[in-house]
Amino acid sequence: MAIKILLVEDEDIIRTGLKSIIAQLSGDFEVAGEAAHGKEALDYLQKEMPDLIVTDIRMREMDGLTLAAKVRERYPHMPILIISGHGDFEYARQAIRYGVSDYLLKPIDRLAFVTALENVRRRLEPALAARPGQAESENDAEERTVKGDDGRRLIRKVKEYIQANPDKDLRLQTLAEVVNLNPAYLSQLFKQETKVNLSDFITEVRIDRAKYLLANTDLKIYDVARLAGYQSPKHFMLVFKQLAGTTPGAYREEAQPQKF
Amino acid sequence: MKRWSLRKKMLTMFLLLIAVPLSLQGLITYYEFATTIERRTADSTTQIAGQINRNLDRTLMEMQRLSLMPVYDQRVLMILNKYSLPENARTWPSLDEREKMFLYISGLAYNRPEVKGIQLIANNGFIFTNVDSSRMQFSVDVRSEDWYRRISEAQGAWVVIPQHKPNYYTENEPQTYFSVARLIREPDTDRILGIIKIDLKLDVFRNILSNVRAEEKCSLSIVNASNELFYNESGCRLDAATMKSLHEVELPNESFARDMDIGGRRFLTVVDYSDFSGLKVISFIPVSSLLKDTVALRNFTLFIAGVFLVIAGILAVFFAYRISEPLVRLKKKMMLVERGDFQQNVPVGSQDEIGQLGKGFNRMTGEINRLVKEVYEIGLKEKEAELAALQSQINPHFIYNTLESINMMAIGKSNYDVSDMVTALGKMLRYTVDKYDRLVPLSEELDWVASYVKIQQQRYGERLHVVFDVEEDVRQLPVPKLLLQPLVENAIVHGIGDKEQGNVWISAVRFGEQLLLTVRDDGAGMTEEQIGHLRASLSQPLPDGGHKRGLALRNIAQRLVMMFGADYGLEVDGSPGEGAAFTITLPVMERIEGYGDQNIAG
Repeated sequence: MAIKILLVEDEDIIRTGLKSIIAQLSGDFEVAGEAAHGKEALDYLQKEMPDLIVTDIRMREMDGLTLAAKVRERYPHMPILIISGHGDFEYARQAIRYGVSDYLLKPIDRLAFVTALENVRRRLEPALAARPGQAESENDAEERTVKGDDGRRLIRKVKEYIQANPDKDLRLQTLAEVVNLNPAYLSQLFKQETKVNLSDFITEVRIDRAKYLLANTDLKIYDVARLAGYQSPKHFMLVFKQLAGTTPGAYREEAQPQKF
Repeated sequence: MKRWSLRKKMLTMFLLLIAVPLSLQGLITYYEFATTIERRTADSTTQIAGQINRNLDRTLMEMQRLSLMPVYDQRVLMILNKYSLPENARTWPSLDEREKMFLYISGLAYNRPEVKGIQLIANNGFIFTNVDSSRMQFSVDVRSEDWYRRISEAQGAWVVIPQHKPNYYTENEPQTYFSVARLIREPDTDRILGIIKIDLKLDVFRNILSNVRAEEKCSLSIVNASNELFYNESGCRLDAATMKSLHEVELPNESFARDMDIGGRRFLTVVDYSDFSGLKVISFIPVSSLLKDTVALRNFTLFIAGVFLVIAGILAVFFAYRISEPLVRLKKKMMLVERGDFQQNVPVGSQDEIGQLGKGFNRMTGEINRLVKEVYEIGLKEKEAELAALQSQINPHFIYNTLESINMMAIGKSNYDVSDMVTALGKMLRYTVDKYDRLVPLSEELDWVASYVKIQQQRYGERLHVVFDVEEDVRQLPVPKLLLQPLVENAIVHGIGDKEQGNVWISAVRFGEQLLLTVRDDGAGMTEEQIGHLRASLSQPLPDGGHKRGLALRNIAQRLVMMFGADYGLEVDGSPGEGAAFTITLPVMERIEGYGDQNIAG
């Protein structure tokens, strides 16, 4: 059973656009009625009973907030979604008083609009939200577990990847993509296999790389940081000092005394 | 002294001002009083001593006259003459002669109770006397006696013999007497006929001294020119050693009154010398006893001075504290101001110079505070004013609605790129225009940067690659609004340039209590010289418009220093051909009040 939506918006273009977004969603939603302003919406409500009202605020005849107030008198639990060009606090405050479900600002972000509709659906159909298939479909096939040798092999691969690319993007999600694992699971598996946090391991590899560069090249600190995977030279220096107990400059002086 | 605190100086000054005059006044009074007392005592004692000596003179003059009487009596001369002859050397006078002499001598001594006895000693050694025969030996050897020697040596002049015990008296307890005596010479021949010796009782002195008050004869003595003691009377208690040393003092034969140091003590010494008898009346009065009253006065003065000093000291402490307390407070506040805390005010309690100083200080800090605020807030206000102007020119509602129409039109035509771009533009506009809060959660700032990046990516397409590397736990930390966009814009412009593809990294990490926001590109980068120039320009004052290059970066750098202090700010580094990195350092702050889940105002 699709969720019936009453769309209240005085501009045709916007109404059409919203309808097309709704139409692209799964068959769970359908636009059951349209109104150009609050009065029309109330007339519609005399005859029909939608599951959700999506309304603009500024309209001819009757604005969205007045509509919301009138709807609340009759249907205390009717979900109302407000779309507004106004970010003014006063509007928002009133909207909260009428217990609106969400308050979206124009121009509408399609993703945000869809998320708001999803939230309403979960409230309207708790049984639907609780269906086990729902959670699984969101996490998809990446959620796979590995065991024994397979796990060790993957972790070795991760380690090798890190050691080969200390200057590259080593965010958890990037690494997870490399070995095709769920990021959280990768982090957990890594810790399990090596007894070391993945992030600590990365830092260690990067600082080792930096030490090598400091000892063997004349690169600027900026470049050493860059080639060791640090975007911020300052951050690099702070981390280096913490781990090596000395500044990069002092470390280099010790490692290459003949040059100074 | 230069390093003393004001309070200490004032306290010392007060105490000196009080203690010095008080002590001086006390000392002067004491010495004046002491001197007066001593002078008066000296005067009165001199008078008394003189009187004593005059009285003595009178008595002795009488005795001297008595001693001459026999020379004028033929019978006495005859009898004495008779027993001066050698043939009568062993002959004792007849009873009749002795009777005659007794009567004559008794006549001389008549009604003179001070006279013990008058002896006429004939040359053959017989003693005629008025003393009762039961108490006398009429024939004793007197030639070996000291007094006899003195009389002989005087050659007929009258002598006064100091205290002695005559050997011719047969008393059970020999008494001490002093005498007036002389040789008796025959008027015509000047031949020595015998000796007259008038023995006087010490009562003579006692009677004369009886008129003198006890305290004035502490130690009164009478001596002759050779300082031989005639009489001594002591009215006050002095130890034996002192007495001894008093008697041993040899004083010159003249009248005077002065302080003398005797046996370790000071004595007011008054001497009266008689030219007639050669006797000296000497009075010793211990200065300490004189000053007994003075000492009481001195002690009282000292006590009063002490009490005053204590009271004055308490008052001095009180006043020194009262006067310096506002200054001390002012100094503390001044130190706070020196450290950059301009929100200082001192309470103004008085209208004097210190009160005026406090007022001046308050005005000064107020002014500084106002100026600092002005400089800082004017910048913000100007921006707000610019935005307000922008808002008043174009109704934002109209813009959003128009954008929404474009958005929906694009959606209607399945042109989702346009939809995304319009939505991103709308978000950017809202964030820039609507919000007046200075601090926003980092996530909001990043959302906005993402919108900006989305629009830029529409322009650059595949050439622009932006990586967000943000630690999860820093997303809610508050940051000043609109910090990152100028950096990202800068990175995109310089990062891509003419290159085929450019990367921009936007990272946010927390290190201890610092939040590090970094924007790095891999574009043309900068030489050391360029970096130096840029760093220098970041700390220069903001120009008054016109020259705009690097202004946004400088604005960020100085805003950070202004808001959080010199430990925070914007740092630049880079390498030629390898891009540049801009790092913003912020303090990690508490979450912002009022920011939460129902953040719908945006």
